[in-house]
Amino acid sequence: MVEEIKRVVIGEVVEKRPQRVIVKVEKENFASTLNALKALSFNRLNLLTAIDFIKENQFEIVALVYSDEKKVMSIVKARIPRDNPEIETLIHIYPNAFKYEVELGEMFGIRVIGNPDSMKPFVLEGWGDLPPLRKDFDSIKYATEHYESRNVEVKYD
Amino acid sequence: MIREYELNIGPNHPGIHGNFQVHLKLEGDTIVEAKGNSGYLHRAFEKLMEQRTYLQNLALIPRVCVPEPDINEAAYAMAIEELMGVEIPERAKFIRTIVLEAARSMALLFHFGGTAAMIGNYTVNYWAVADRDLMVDIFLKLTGARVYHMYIWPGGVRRDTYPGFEDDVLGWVKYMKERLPEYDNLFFKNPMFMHRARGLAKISKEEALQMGVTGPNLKATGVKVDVRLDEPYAAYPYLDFDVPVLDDGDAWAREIQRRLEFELSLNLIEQAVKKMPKGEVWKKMPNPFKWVIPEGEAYARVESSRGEYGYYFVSDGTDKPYRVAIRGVSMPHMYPLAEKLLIGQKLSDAPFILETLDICPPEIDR
Repeated sequence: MVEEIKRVVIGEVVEKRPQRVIVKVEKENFASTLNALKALSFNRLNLLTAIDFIKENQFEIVALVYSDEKKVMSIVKARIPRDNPEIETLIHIYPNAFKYEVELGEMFGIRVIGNPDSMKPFVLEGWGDLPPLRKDFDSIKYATEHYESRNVEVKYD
Repeated sequence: MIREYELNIGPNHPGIHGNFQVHLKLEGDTIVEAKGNSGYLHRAFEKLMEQRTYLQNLALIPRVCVPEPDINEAAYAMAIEELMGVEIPERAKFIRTIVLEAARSMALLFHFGGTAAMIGNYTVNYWAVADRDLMVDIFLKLTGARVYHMYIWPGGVRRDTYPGFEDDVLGWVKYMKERLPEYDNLFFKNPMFMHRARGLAKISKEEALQMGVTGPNLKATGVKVDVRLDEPYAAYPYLDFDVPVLDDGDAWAREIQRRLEFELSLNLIEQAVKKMPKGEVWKKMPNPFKWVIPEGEAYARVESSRGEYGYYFVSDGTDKPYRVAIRGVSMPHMYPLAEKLLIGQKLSDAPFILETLDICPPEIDR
């Protein structure tokens, strides 16, 4: 399977363990890689999410795609800059990417070009702060500012 | 006369599991548009997990999905074990399987109760909750907790079974097997259920695969995809089983599929109890209060009663996870599947259809 993926993908392909292949690509090739993988029987998008690597000033976009035929899970990753983050939509490849993309906008502030609902509220209505899954969002500070204290002292280290 | 109007099902409606809203546009009593509205149950699990140590997270994760909490513990533990390169003891694998299958059958009982109630058959609900409670008692004895067990943890399970556990579990399985024909007569073979469910909200195989649907909803369309077969974890490689599939893809098939899987779960528990070896239940790991997980990433997946459930885990080599993304099963089942299925249906069928898809809102609001 790894050889087949290497043939169609421009990027780094590593077999992490049986049934897990990690594919690292450039952000320009992210959508085209997934398109190629879909043609290679990776029929299902299991998860689309992001990770905030704040030290490197980058977001990592992660798509988990699974092939029911080959029983292999591909973890496709691409790094994008943290300032003004944007990716292309995947809805024409995997229709269920739609809400995951809305989530990326809401939780990380990543704009998805081609998704009409991108950056619209999904689960957080009326949110006026930093996107909450970014590492620089301080949830304890947010909670103390927005909610009344119950006068219970909790120590965090 | 008002012809077109809008109506909300939920967030507090008996036809919705947990707090979740479906906004409907209707013409007469026919649905012309359905939009899900989530956020009523958002408890920021993914963010909270980044701020807690690996041990503290054990108390948090079962709360993601209430009817079936053990899958969270299993996926979490499996992801950590993969990162640490730990192989768990044989006995722990079998105990995990018994716990997971018991949790699945309990979740399915809840589900049958809910679905039957949506078409007015409340007796099933009372039976199912009472029968489920007998297993809850066994869990209480085994783990010390009724619903959130926190029993499966990295390296195996928290402690060994109590004396007489095997007899208790086999007793419950025997009891449930005797009860099943009664459930069949009351619900699954009930003409009222057949009339309502046959041909209702049918999904085709291609559509289901396109939308990322998994679990019984997919298997009811004739696709044999099950994590227990495809990527066996715990003690599944040692057990002899096959997963049933149906072809119809309608509400009836989805329910019967779950009924068949319930029977399979009972068989698997029986097999696992009989084949369970003696020995250690926890691979001794360093002091849990000081767990530091090596840098890396892992995706662990398990088959829940609703479909494929997974944890995508990124560790930066500290005592807290860097990022945990939960693959909730119900996300594709609600968006876009339910939104599409509801169009053209009657209002009175809407809660029933949502029930047959077994949507668990916290898996969307995670």
